[in-house]
Amino acid sequence: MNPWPFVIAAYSIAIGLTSALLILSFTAMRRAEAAADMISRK
Amino acid sequence: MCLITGSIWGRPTWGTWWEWDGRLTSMLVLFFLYLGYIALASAERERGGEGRIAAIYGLVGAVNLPIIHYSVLWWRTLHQGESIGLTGSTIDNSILWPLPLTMVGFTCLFGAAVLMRMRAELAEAKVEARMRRMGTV
Repeated sequence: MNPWPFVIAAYSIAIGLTSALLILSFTAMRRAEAAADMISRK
Repeated sequence: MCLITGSIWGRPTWGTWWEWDGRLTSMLVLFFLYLGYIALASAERERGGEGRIAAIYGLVGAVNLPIIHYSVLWWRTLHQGESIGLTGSTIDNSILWPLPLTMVGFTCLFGAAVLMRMRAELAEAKVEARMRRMGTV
């Protein structure tokens, strides 16, 4: 059995899900800090 | 992610996507415990709780961690035994040296995600406190 399709699939899922987690965390942080900055300027 | 990629790895290596063996089943139990923790923590937060019940649930759920670790020794089923022990390693050198590198890399990524979530939580708490103050003035 050729293992490469399985290796590529596993790496794609690992990279995709890890990137999604980091991007979501980063955007949530920026959104929350922008809201905090805006409210403290009021 | 571990369950999905492990299943993909298992197909060419073991010839099966899934097997009810000790390690795989205990990892699945951990996944369900984690889902339960997320549901409990968010339900408690909605009710304005302090998160005490979720914390106790987390501590009780941590009992599963040594079970996962020793599962390959207690139930000798499909999953291979421990690969790295005090006496040495059964992993080939060509894939042994990338292991600590990836461990350090994923630990850094995990640390970065936790720090970002903490900053978001602090900013949200700041907004909430400010809104409460504005509401009482």
